[in-house]
Amino acid sequence: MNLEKEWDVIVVGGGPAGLRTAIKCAEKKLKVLLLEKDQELGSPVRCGEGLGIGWFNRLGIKPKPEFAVHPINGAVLYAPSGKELVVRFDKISGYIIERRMFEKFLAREAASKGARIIAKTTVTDVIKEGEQIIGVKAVHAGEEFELKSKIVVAADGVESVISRKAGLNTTNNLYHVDSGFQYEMAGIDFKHPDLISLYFSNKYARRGYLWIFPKGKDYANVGVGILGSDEKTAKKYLDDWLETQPGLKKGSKIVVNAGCIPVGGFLEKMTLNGLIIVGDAAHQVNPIHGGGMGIAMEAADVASEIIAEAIEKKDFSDKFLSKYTSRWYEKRGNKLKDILKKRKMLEEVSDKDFEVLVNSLNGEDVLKIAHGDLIDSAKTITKKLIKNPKLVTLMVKYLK
Amino acid sequence: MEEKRFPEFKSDLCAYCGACVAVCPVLALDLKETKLFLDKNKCIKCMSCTKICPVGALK
Repeated sequence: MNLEKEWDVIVVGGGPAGLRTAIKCAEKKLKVLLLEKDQELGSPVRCGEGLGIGWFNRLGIKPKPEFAVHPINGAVLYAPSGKELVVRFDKISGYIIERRMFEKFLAREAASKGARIIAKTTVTDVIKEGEQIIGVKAVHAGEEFELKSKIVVAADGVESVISRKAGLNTTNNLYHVDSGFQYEMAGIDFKHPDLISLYFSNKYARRGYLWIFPKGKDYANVGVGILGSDEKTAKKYLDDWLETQPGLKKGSKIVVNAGCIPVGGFLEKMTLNGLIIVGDAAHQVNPIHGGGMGIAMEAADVASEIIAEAIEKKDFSDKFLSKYTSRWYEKRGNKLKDILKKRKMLEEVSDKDFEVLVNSLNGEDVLKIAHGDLIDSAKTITKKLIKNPKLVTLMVKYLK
Repeated sequence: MEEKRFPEFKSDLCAYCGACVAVCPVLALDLKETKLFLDKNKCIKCMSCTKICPVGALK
């Protein structure tokens, strides 16, 4: 293949984590190459495609109509009985995006800043010199070749094959991974096209939830995420639930998506000599809602800062690169660990108890619980306890 | 006790999502676009892939 053999940075994987790393490295004038195994960036989609407005702002990404296809004003939570808890803002709180377009948008930005991107190229392994990773082995359209780089960035998604081949154990534990299944559906009726709808039920989504992420008034991603070790498949949960939803059941299934979501098996070690992992490959996902795009791109920003420093100092050792790990935990990882603790509490909540919660809390409470630390969450619930003795019983049951 | 066996793959159900690869502790599975390969020399018959599979293509 007609490609330069030596690079500052080789990024494996063209999802949000990898593309954002390529953009930021290119901005820092590093010589960066991104290799994507699939023949089209942004496809196949393995995502609910929701991204909160906070992430657009933090990352400095404008929600352009070409990919930010539908604005969202909040969320509605459904208890197993069907009772709703609406959290609606008076301004846009996020967008449902088209990943097929979003990845291409990021790729164009990376390319225009000087990064090189090659699709349909599988990285099969890393090349090592002693303990130092110095490049990758890749295959493009049947042709095998080797490339050298100062740093390899593994952004190869939840499979996380490259870091494992390089010697980091990133295998997903079944408890810390959700199994997901989704249809992109058209011609459906649902009540709140301006909100994401989340349905909680142990019957239809054990340790997880079903969702409607609207892309229009009769058009949405409809999916489910469940505990990875569940014997029943995610597809079966979704199909069974759709049977109970006449407005959805009648619709057309125009895309079928499946996947798994690394919801909380956070890694203590995310670097090796010459290697950094970002995104799903590093299990950088919100353990409660399973969203990972914003977190992945933020991690990519942290990674590229460290990469630039490493290249300037000519130090590609694990010791130097591990500053990425500590900086990421300070910025995001520690907060996610707190969220994981909340999820563990939520996992224990029965359908009956969930009804009590939905009947006792309002939208504002939910936000406080979701965004606050554990103490703030406890305070919010405590205030409600005074008014509702049933909640006291729940507190005793779950917080012991 | 049930004898340990290799996971059985039904390609017509597979959605090629890679979930099985993500949970395989020994990297015995390899997904190449729309083909899934199982290396029986590596597989330890833990059946994690059959549990995570969102569509029941591995049993």
